[in-house]
Amino acid sequence: MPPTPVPGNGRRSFLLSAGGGFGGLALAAMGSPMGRAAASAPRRNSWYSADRARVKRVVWLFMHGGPSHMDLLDPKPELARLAGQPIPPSFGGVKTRRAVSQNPLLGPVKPFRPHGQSGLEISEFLPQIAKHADDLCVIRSMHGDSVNHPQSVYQMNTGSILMGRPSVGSWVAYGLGSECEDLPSFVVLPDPRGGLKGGPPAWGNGFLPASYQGVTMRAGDQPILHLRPPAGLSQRDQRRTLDLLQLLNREHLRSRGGDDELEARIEAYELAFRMQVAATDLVDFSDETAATLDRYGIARRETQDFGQRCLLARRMLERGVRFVQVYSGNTAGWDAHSNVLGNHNQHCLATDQPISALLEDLKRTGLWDDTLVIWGGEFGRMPMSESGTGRDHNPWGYSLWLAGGGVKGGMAYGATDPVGLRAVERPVHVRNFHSTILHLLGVDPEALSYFHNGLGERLIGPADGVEVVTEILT
Amino acid sequence: MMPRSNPTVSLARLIVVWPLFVAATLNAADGQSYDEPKVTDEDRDHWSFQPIVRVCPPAVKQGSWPENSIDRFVLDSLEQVSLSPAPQADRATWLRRLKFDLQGLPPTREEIISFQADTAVDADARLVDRLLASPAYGERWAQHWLDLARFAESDGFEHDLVRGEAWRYRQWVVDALNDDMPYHRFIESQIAGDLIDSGADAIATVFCMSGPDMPDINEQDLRRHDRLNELTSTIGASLLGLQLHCCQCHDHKYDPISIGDFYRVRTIFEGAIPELKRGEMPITLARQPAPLSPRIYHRGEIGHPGQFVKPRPPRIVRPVPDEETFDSGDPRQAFVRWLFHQDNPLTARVIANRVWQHHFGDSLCENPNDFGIVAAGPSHPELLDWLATEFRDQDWSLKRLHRVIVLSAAYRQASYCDGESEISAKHFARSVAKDPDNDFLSRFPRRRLEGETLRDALLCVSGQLNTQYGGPSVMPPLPPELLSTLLKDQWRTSNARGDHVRRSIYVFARRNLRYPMFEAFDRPDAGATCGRRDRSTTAIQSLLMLNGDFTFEAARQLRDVVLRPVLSSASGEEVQPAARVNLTAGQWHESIDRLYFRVLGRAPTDFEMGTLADWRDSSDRGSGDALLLVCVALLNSNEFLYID
Repeated sequence: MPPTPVPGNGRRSFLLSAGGGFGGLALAAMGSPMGRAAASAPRRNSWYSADRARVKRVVWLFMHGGPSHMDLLDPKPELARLAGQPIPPSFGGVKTRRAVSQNPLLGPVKPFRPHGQSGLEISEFLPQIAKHADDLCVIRSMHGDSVNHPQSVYQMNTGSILMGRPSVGSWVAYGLGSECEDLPSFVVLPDPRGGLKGGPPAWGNGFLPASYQGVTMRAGDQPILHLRPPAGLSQRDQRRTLDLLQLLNREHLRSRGGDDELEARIEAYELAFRMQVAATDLVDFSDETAATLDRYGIARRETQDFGQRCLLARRMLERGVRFVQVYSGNTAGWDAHSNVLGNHNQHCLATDQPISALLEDLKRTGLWDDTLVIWGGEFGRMPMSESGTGRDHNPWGYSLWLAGGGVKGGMAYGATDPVGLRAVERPVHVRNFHSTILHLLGVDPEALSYFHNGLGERLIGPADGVEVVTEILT
Repeated sequence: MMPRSNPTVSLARLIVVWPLFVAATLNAADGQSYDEPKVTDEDRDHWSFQPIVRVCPPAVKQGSWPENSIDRFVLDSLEQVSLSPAPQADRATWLRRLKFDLQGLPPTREEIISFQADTAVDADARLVDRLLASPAYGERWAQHWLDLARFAESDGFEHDLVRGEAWRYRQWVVDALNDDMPYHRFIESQIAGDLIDSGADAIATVFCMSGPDMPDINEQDLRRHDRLNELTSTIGASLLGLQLHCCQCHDHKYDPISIGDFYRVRTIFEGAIPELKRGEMPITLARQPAPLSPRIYHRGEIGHPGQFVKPRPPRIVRPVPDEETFDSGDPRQAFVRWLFHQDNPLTARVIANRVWQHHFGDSLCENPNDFGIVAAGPSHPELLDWLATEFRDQDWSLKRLHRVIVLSAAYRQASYCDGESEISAKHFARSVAKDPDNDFLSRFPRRRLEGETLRDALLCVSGQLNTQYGGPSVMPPLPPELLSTLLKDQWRTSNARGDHVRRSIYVFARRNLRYPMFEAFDRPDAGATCGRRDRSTTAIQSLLMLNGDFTFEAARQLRDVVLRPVLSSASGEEVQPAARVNLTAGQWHESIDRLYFRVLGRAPTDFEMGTLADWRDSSDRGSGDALLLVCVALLNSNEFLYID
């Protein structure tokens, strides 16, 4: 069936009718500090069902560069056995980024141990996360479509290896609206050293209105761009200026009644003012105990940065931010071409403890049951060695884990082949991973669409056969 | 005439009919067969595939209103639903509207005064001609075209490498618009500029190659495949108003366009893009010895090549192409001839609709990039055809088309009720009630400034704008927090301070990082052709305008530029204004007056004067500081951000 054609209406009534027909959700979206899109507010929420929804919010810990699944989450005794030999021909040819396919296999660089009641195997790289083994659902059969970083960063974030599609966070901000009066729905905490491969388009809005794009925030004094009055303008003067501005705006509106765009802008200034307070409060850790700060590793050099951002993420989730992404890894990140052990030691040390603290806090504060935690990179790594002790990119089979509401804990789902080259058992394509996220949020992945270029364009992508990985759901 | 023709009927027809055609089975090179649906006369019943008809402007009752033929079409549709046009906007409003529209800049105090004083009958027409003749016209309108060209000066993806010569294309567009290059020549240069005589227009073909690119990919054949497909989609949406991109994978679900049509159009360009090599970044087209891969690719995948195809336009669109010219000459030149053939129904309609869109905020059709079955058709089909015909008959001159549009009575309407006349109040009450979406144009649509125009306006009213024309792009300062999201040295702030205050069209267009004000105010991301920007209202915009250094610096400069003549006229000599200077009531009054002219193009009302006087009295700061805050408020005001 074709999508319901939008009857001949201009954008204004579109908005007004969205207010009436869409109920609380639309109103919440309009009241969000990211404001509203004049062009195309969601017409109806046919995609959302409260009955289906298992979680309300998502925190996505993005390990940029591609963490090595066979060294972290996917134990491969057979790879250890074959280490030093070329990959047996039975595994077939493989497309790689660099010419590594004939290189000797590199055995797992750290031992694995079973953890918790479930006995889920996790390597010694992640001792703190491993304590939560019974809460983790590891998908060991992820696969994507490109051996290149930016394409895979885009695919993991937007569903497409091409540049410029809307990101999953923007889908969710659009599809569900905001839960929070004075913070954005979709916040990204990039690695402060910068250099994400693919850049800000990874959290872009694509063809969705700009109000749904990820807002980047950082720890410290200026968490959002332009959050503080410029040098030379005091808070008090700013408020006085704002009062004058709104007086002039209301006078201007008086003879232009019925223009909701003008009214929305008046509202947007008040929201901006509140956001200054809310975001300042958000980054002020003075109400956290010393023990908490310590658990996040904020006092230690190695963990300070990621710890701060994990704590910020928790504080955002508490305040109702819908979708938070925390990136680990600058330009090189987890991209261990030459020395997996050294690279992963460094990155695991920086992230393991803070992530563990975040998981604990989610449980303790009661957010656990309606929050989805995602840990993963844009792909995994090859079983063959590169430069002796490194590994090349592998999108054909890799792992990530989920935790929180709606997913089974202590579970390993799917499998790669005996050396970890390809997903072979119950493979999960990136698209189906996305559709599972949407499903957990109560969104029908097939129905979530935006009217664009004459069609209700499905955000999950045009391909047929979108599936939810139901076996991992509670 | 019904505004926004309802697509349901034609849609239903197609769903029933389109898949039922006896399909021609073609044998694929690799054995995959492909059943191509036929195109029927019934498919061509859709409005946009019908020939453009020269329509006589209809007779109207309110015969004194129309100023030209456009108005007869507009008025006729209003009268059919018992509506009437809005009263005229006052001349200052019209001037501000026109200046932003044609040049992207606010009128100066001098312009306002001299225009108000010019009471000659041809004053308006002379003003329009003067504005169109200024280089600022091209600097404004080029951005509309660059949105369609998904133009950026870097590749995107991981390395986002700079395309060093890309700015020359931006400048080519600015120059071409200023020269009023006829549209057929404008397009010919962008599709086949390398084939024209000396090839001096080769830079214009950047249009075709302007999309994102990943030069370091391993699979260079895939890179070329993606670029060709992206180019084909862009050609379809920007020149023909057809969503060809759906057809790179499968036959279109609603429009009578097949995957075969897509790859035939692509084949027109096959012979212009060389085999790509890692690290090489061609940005212009150049004729190659032989086309590399003129085939269909099933599911759009390079791994699924189908039958070979010949270069042809989409079959649904008339005229039937002269196959000889496509097969023996360069197909790009044949394609240009086909685009501008007298019987081509799309080319002229698509561009005429776009020009209208940028004057009236919304286009006559629901989606300027989709004239297909699903998107709503034109609200004023006869007007659209009249504009298309007029444009063609006037030698495809964009400036003449602008002229006739902006000199219409429709364009002269007020956008709101000024509150003084009862007739006007009645009109607007009725207009808003009966025509809430303004489909009938019963008033002028209010519009927000675009990000680029907003920046230019801030620079202009604060006396900072550097009007230097042309040249390589510049990099104004960025907040350090933003720089940290980039790779090293991706943004090298221009050394000369004068370069920081050039017009927005000259700001370097990095694909992976839009300039913050442009991004916040809905500049498209240059990932795909964009025919219509969103218009969002967000708190992020408010923070940027209220707290950003750029606006605050503009406010400071604005205060100084306003104060300077006020203070020097008092003392008889040039005085450098200081923040804490104390102004007499008269000086304050004069400052506010000048401020309103500069920022809003009008004198302050008594209410405003009174409010601001009270506000100043309640301030415990020097008048200079108080005036600075008034400047901040005015630069943030809705009246400044919107065009009535």
